[in-house]
Amino acid sequence: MTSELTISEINCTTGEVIERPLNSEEIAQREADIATFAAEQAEREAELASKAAAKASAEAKLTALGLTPEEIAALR
Amino acid sequence: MATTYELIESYTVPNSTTYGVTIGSGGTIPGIYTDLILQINGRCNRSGSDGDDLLVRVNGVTTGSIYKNRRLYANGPSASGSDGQSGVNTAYIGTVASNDQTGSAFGICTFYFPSYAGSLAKLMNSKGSAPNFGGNLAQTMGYFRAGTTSAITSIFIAPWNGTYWIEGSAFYLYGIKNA
Repeated sequence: MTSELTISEINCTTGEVIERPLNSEEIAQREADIATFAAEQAEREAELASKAAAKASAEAKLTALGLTPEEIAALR
Repeated sequence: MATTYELIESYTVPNSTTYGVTIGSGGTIPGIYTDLILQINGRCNRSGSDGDDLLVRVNGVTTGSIYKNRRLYANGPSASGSDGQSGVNTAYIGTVASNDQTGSAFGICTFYFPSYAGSLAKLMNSKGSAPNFGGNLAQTMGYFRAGTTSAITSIFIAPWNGTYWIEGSAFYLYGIKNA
């Protein structure tokens, strides 16, 4: 897809539809949105990894205390 | 019998170059209804996932950190997680099909805006799913809050990860009257 990206604007009063290329402000906003999303995605993934590590650590400690896998699963 | 459910406007993406769709450009969503429903049958060009999330803004507001959203999401048969954001400048919510879905399946996403013309902050409930014919499924339920006391007069929607909507993606805005 090499065509220029567009915005479609639908006027609810007249029914007029305008399909036009993104203007410079919209391109800048889109780039800012992409950067924001990447940062938030990294934050979410780090949080998930942290939770997974804490869970594995807790399960290892429970195993060391003598709990079976079934008993550990029952605690979830 | 009074007409209580009325199509305000519909739009079908004519070719696969459309990044964003603004319904009610120029602030033209009429304030004569009680609630709004926005139905999207959508597919975007994202790859590497069953579905894609949506970027939603109201009234063209891109600054001020007015949005807050929460989602429950799933990939496959079971709920798999939740997330949310506060104090951000866009809502991240809803689900449509990605371009990985087989059979050119389109996702189904519904947004409900109660009391959209009232003077309180605006709430929206969303349900979205990206089904396919091979068994994979992405879905979300969620809500968002826009901290504006102005009536909602326009809604902007774009794919979050994808670059553009696939041709044939369709948008339907309905007005609901309570009598």
